[in-house]
Amino acid sequence: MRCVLYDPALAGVGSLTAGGSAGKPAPAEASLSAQERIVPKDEVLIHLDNLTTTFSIRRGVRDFIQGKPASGVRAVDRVSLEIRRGEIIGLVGESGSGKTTLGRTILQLIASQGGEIDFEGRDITQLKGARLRKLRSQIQMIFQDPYASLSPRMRVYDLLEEPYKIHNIPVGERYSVSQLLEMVGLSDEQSAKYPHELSGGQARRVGIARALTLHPEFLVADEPTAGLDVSVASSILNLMKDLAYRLSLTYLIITHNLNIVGYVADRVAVMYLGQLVEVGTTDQIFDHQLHPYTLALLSAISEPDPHRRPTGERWRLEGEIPSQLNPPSGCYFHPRCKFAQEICKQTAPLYQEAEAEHWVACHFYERVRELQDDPPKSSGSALTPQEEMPVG
Amino acid sequence: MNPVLDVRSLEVVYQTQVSSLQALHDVSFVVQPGEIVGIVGESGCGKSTVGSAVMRLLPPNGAISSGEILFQGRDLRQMPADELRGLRGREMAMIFQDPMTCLNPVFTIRSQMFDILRTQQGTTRLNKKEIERLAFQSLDEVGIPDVAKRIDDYPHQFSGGMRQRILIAMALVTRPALLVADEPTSALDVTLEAQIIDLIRELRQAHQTSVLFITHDLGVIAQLCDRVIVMYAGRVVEQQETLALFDNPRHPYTRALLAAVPSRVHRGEPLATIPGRVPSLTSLPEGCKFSDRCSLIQEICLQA
Repeated sequence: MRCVLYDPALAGVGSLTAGGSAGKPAPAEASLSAQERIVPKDEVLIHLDNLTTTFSIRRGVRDFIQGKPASGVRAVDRVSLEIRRGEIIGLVGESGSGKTTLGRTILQLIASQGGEIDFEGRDITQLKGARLRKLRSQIQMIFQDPYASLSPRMRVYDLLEEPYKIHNIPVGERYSVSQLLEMVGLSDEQSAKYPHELSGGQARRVGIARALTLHPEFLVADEPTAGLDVSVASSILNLMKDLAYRLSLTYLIITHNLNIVGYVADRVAVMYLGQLVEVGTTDQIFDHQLHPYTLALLSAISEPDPHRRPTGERWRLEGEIPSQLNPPSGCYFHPRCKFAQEICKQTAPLYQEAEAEHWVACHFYERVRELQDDPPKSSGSALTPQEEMPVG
Repeated sequence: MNPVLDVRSLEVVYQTQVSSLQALHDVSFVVQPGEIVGIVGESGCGKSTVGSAVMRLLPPNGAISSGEILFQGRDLRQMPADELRGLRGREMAMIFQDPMTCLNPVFTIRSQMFDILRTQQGTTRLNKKEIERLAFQSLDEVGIPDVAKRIDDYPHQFSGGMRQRILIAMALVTRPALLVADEPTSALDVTLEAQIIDLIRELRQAHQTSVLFITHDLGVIAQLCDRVIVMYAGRVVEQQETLALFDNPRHPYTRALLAAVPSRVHRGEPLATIPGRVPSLTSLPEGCKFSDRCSLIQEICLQA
């Protein structure tokens, strides 16, 4: 449901810029963010079905002559996920997990090689040309590096008007530059600046404003706070939450920072080497993980609380993520997993709904679950007595 | 016990084409043997400058304009260059954020380790076998698997996390009294960061190395450091033991910083932010440098 105050398509241009505080969007730090959004859990906005994106590696001459097949990296490996309207879903993973590639594939900035992306009933992987361009008014991206994604030769007002020119949007359906700047908490003074004249936080806000120009329903935000100072990062997060509420947006936030996800996301999807290993609500992921990798990831977070230093020996995940060119057999995580057994080497685990709305791909998720309910009593055990995570 | 490092009223100035910038003003702190002291602050606060100044590695346009840096009682500012060279890399070592720019890509790890051990032999001359033993031991200690084989590999054959470990091995092979670490984990994934933090903690335990850990990440500070120095606009605003700092931050900036870190405990509320931006060194406010962003501001704060 669109808010009349902020959607000129419904109320006509001018309602935002008219004087008086009633029409003005509240500053990002104000109380609107404090209200919990009511997240409708039923309507599926986007459905990813076995989505696969492969980057092929060029064969060397010798390999070609020998007839070796072209190898590829499955950056996104049969990912299935439902994203519901109005939710904020966090996509977490480390380098090489494929999360950025997944984000770009959803936007069709990168072509997928397998599977489907169903958006409002259509498979958008088949769209081309004008129809694909029309999609841009519904799904947008906030890029990780605002300086790289904003043309250095254009001033802010040009950057905010460009989408309308490209898509031939009639003036009556556009946000004005002032409106856009106000939505993201920037003053009109910024409109004549070039990107290099903006601070990191300001550039990121311009990136967000640009993504909002076509009134999208769904935004993919790639590392929205990377490289920002703490105080700036938190104001960007406040802004994003605020906009989600006011504009009824759905977000996919791609990040390696679990603290952000813990703060802002309704659901979390964890990726490892191109595959989804666990998906659940934020509470489920933080308090009742089912996948060993999620367990390791959460125990590795440096919490800003010196009272909660890991006691005894926490499970320190050894080694590094394996090469995507040569992934391990069976379950990709088995070489680093302390729960691994023979079957993990042979057979890839099924991605299944282990509990209500809680999906996991692991042969031994029950063992991980036992760990949460029943921390080991003796210090002689190999597993660490973890302190309870604070709830909410 | 005498502190390993005693910095007194340090002032550092950078010369630019248009003006001179005071990067550090009246910075004083102490690092005891075996202590891990964290320096935390946002961009431009001067934390990296402190690290470089202590190592006497300021860029050509930077200079220590006043103050003392006492390393094990000796004043580094008064020290002649060749004596400094003997200290640096042997008694004092530094590691940086990006290991790839610190490792020479055309030499093997063996070659680079040996290079250090050969030039930093101190008073005892080591023979080749002893050098090899120390190198192997150091690499093994930081968790490089299969050292005997991998020591002959080149930096690009190692992953990012491994390279950072190699750097740590190279920094600690001479058993320095002080390790200065400038954002060593900022470019690493969460699980790698945890490994490096655990490693530094273990090495401190094993060798009583003091560590000056520079970072913007309050989480790492909380997990690793014994004491914390909070910096803003080139000044120390608060120093405290870690537990005390997090439980009871006294300076408004520290309080604001701690409140602004996103985490699950703040779910449902807007994150506290600090209005305004970190000031540029060319336009600092009069009086207290935090006065233009502070919510507790009084008359007196605006006076010099």
